[in-house]
Amino acid sequence: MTKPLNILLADDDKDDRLFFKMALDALSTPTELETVVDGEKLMVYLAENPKNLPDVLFLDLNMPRKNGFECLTEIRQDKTLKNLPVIIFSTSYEQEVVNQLFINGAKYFMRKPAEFSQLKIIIEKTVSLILEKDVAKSSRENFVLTLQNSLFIK
Amino acid sequence: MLNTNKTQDEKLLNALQELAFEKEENEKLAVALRLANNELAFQKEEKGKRAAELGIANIELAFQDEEKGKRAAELGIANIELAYQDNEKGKRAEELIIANKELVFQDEEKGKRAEELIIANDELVFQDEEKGKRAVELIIANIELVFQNDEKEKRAAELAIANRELAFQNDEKGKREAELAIANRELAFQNDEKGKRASELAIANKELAFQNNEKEKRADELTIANKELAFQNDEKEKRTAELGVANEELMFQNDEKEKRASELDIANKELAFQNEEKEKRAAELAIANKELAFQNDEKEKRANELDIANKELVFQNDEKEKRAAELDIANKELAFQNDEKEKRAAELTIANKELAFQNEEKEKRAAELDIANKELAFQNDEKEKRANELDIANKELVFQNDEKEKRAAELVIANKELVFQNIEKEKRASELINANYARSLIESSMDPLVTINAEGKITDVNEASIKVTGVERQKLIGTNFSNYFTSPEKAQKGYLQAFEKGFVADYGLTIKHENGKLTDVLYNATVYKDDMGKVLGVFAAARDVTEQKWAKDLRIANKELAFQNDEKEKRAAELDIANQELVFQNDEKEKRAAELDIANKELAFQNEEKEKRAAELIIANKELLAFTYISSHDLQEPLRKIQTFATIILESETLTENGKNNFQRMQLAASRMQQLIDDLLAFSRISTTELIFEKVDLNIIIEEVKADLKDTILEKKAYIEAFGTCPVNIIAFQFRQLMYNLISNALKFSKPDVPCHIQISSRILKGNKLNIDSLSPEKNYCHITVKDNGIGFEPHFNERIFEVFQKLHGKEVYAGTGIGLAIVKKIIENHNGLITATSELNNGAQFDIYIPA
Repeated sequence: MTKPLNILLADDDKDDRLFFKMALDALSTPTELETVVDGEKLMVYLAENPKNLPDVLFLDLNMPRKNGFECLTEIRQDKTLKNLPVIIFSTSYEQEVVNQLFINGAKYFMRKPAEFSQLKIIIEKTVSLILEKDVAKSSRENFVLTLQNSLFIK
Repeated sequence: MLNTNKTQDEKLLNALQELAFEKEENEKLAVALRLANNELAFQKEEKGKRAAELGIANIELAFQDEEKGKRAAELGIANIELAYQDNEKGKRAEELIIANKELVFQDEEKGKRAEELIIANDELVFQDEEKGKRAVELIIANIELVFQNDEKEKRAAELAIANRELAFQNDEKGKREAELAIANRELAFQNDEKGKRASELAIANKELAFQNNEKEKRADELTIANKELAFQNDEKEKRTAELGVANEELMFQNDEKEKRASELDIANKELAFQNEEKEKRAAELAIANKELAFQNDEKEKRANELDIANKELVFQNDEKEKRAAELDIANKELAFQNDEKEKRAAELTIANKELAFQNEEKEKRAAELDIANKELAFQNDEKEKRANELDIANKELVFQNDEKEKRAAELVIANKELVFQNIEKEKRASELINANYARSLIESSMDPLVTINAEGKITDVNEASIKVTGVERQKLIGTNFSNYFTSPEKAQKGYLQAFEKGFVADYGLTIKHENGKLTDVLYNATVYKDDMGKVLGVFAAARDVTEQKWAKDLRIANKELAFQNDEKEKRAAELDIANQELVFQNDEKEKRAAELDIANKELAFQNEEKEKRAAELIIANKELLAFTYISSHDLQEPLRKIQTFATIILESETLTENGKNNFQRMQLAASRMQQLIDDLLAFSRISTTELIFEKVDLNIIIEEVKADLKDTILEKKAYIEAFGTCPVNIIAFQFRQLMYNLISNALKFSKPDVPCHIQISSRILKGNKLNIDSLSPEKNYCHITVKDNGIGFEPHFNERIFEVFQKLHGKEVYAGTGIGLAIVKKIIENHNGLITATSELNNGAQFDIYIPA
C-alpha cells in the first residue's frame, strides 16, 4: 500500500473546495486533502508543519487577507519550502498574470474548468505529474495545464 | 612749400630748440660777461691804482731825477761818465715819459674801453633782459603750445574715447541686435513650441475626444451588454416562469394522478361493494344453485384474482403516492432551485443595477469628459487665438526688430561714418600732430619764419613771411634773404652772424613789403643741423613787434574747436536720442517679454489643468481596468460554479430526460455567458492595452492560428491557403486574435456539404492604387484578403456584421456572441486601418484589410 499523496489546497471558496474534494475522491489514486481558507492561514499552516509538508500545494490566487501572489513569493523565498511544488488554481486566465506566476516560481497554472468532468481530468493529470515527479520538468511551454494537453499527455 | 618734408620741419624744430638752447647759452654768456666786466672794472680800478702808483713813482723819479741832477751837479764835475749816465738816464726818463704817456694813453684807452664795455654791458644786460622776456614769452608760448598740445591730445584722447564709446555702443548695439535676434528666434521658437503644444493639445484633445467616443461606444456597448444581460435575465425569468408552469403542470399531473388514485379507490370500493353484492348474490344463489357454486368458486377465484388485482392496484396507488411524494420532493427541489434562480436573478438584477449604475457613472463621466472636452476645445480655441495673437505680436516684434535692425544698420552706417570721420579726424589730428604739427606751428605762427641756406638763399618760408613780404612762396624760395629788408647789409650780417655764432637774438630788421609797407621785426635765428650735426641752414623767426596776430588765429582755431565741439555735442545728442529710443524699445521688449511671460504662465497653468485632467482620465481608466478585472474574475466565478454544479448534478443525479434536457440547456446558457464575458474582456483588452507595433511575418501568425484551430479544421475538412504573405507592421497579439476570429468565422460559416477553402493573401500597394477614398493616396498599405467559400451573407449586411452583438443567425444554428467581428474591426482601427466585407448569400465571403505598411 503506497502512502497517500498529501495535497494542500488553499482556496477561500467553499464550493471550490467541495469540487476539489469531490474530484479527488473520484480518483483511483489515494490522496489526503488538507484545506486552508486564506493566504495567512496557508502560511501559518506551512510554518507549523515543517516536518509534515504536503506533497503539492494547489493555490488559489484571489483570497482574502493574503492573496496567492503574495503566498507564492513568500514560499519561494522560504528555503524550507523550496521543494514544495505550487500549482496555481485560478478562475481567470490572463496572459500577463500567467507570465508573472511562471517567473515567480509556480510549477503549473490551471484554470478552474467549468465542467466537473474536466476538473476531475485535470486534477488527475496533475496528481499523476506529482507522483511521477514530473514537476521538475515544468517549463513555460507546458506551464499552463489545459484539458487538451492533459488529455494529450495522458 | 607747405609740402616741405618732415625732416626739414624737424630740423626747423631742432633749430627752434637750438635757439632756446642758445638763449640759455646767451644767458650764461651774459653772466660770464658780467663777471668779465666786473673783472675789467676791477682791472680798471687796479690800473687806476697802478697809474696812481706810477704817477707817484714818476714824481719820485722826478725827485730822484732832481736828486740825480743835484747829484750830477754835485758829481758833474767828478763824473762825466755819470753825465753820460745822466744822459742815458735822461733818455731813459724820456723813454719812460713816452712810456708813461703811452701808459696814460693806454689808461685813457682803457677808460674808453671800460666805458664802451659798460655800455656793451648795459646793452648786454638789456639784451639779457630782453632775452629773458623773450624766453619767458617763449616759455609761456611753449607752455601754451604744450597746453594746446595737451588739450589736443586730450581732445584726441576724448575723441578716441568717444570713438571707442561709439564703437562700444555699436558693439553693444550689435550685441543687442544679436540678442534681439536671438530673443526673436527664441520667441519664434517658443511660438513654434506653443504651436506644436497647441497642435499636440489639439491632438491630445482629439485623442481625448476619440477616447470619449470610445468610452461612449464602450458605454453603448456595455449598455448593449446590459441589455443582453437584461434580456438573458428576462429569458431566465421566462425560463423560471416556464419552469413554474412546468411545475404547475407536474402539480396538475400529480393532482390528476391523485384524482385518478381516488377514482381507483372509489372503483375499488365499488368493486368491493360489487363483490359484497356478489357474495350476497352467491350466498343467495349458493343455496339455489350448487352449479353456480362452481361458478361461485370460479367467481371467488375471480374475486381473489380481483382482490390480488385490487391489492396490486392498492400497491400501484401506493407507488403512485410515493411517486407523488417523490415528485413533491422533486418539486420542492425545483422550487428551491427556482428560489435559488430567483435569488440568482435578484443577484443578477443587482449586478445589472450595479452595471446600470456604473453605466450611468460612465455616462456622467462621459458627460463630464464631454464638458472637459468642450472646455479643452474652448481652451484650445483660446490658445489658438492666443497663438494667433502671439503670432501677430511676433510679426509685430519681427517688424519692430526689422525696424530696429534697419535703425541699427543706419546707426551702424552712421557710426561707421562717424568712425570714418573720427579716423579722418584722428588722421588729420595725427598728421597735424605728427606730420604737420611743426609745419602748422610754423605756418600758423604769426611770426614770419624763414630758413636760409649757407648762401643766404631762402629755402623755406611760412605764410606770415608771405604776408609780410607780399611775395609768393615760390618766388621767395631761392632768392636772397637780405633782399626783403630795408637794410640788406644788416640782414646779411645778421644771418652770417647766426651761421658764425650758431644764433642771433632779437636782431632788429625792417621787412619791406612789395607794396612798400614796412614791418619792424626782431629776428631770432639759430642754425639747424642734420642728424650728423652738419649745419644745414639758419632758421630765423621774426617777431612782428607791431601786431599780435596769433591771438586772432587762436580765436579762429578756438571757434573751429568750439564748432567741432558743437557738432560733437549735436552728434552726442543724436546718439543720446538714439540711445533713448533703444532704451524705449528695450522697455517695450521687456514689457512684451513680461506679457509673454504671463502668457507663458497662463499656458503653463492650462497645461497643469490639462495634466490634472489627464491624471483624472488615468484614474478613470484605472477604474475601467478595475471593472475589467471584476468582470474577468468575479463575474466568471459564480458562472463557473453554476456550470460545475450542473455537471455534478448531471453526472450523479438521476434525472428525467426532461430534467436532463433542461440542465443541458442551462449549461449551454451558462457557457454562452462565459463565452460572452470572455469575448467582452477580449474586446475591452483590445481597447485598453498598450499598442506595441512590430514587424511580424503574417505566415507565422496564420500557422499559429491554424494550430489553435486544428481540430475544427480537421472536422470541417478545411483547406487554408496563404500566399504572397509579407511581413507587416502590426500589434502581434491583436493581429493573431484578428486572424483567429476571421478564420474561425470562415470555418464556422462553411457550407456543410462543401469542404471549406480559405484563401489568405497580402500585398503592398500605394493608397492611390486601391480606389478607397479614406486611404491616403501617397501612403503604402498592406492589403490582406481573407476569402472563403462558405455560406456568405446578404450584401446589405456588409457593415452591420462588424457591429457588436450583431448576429445573422440564431445561436441554435451558429453559436457565437456577435463580438468576434467587432473585435476584428476594433483591431483594424487600432492599426489605423480599414476593413471591408464583401459577400453574397451562399457565395462565400471576402474580408479586405488595409493597414499602413
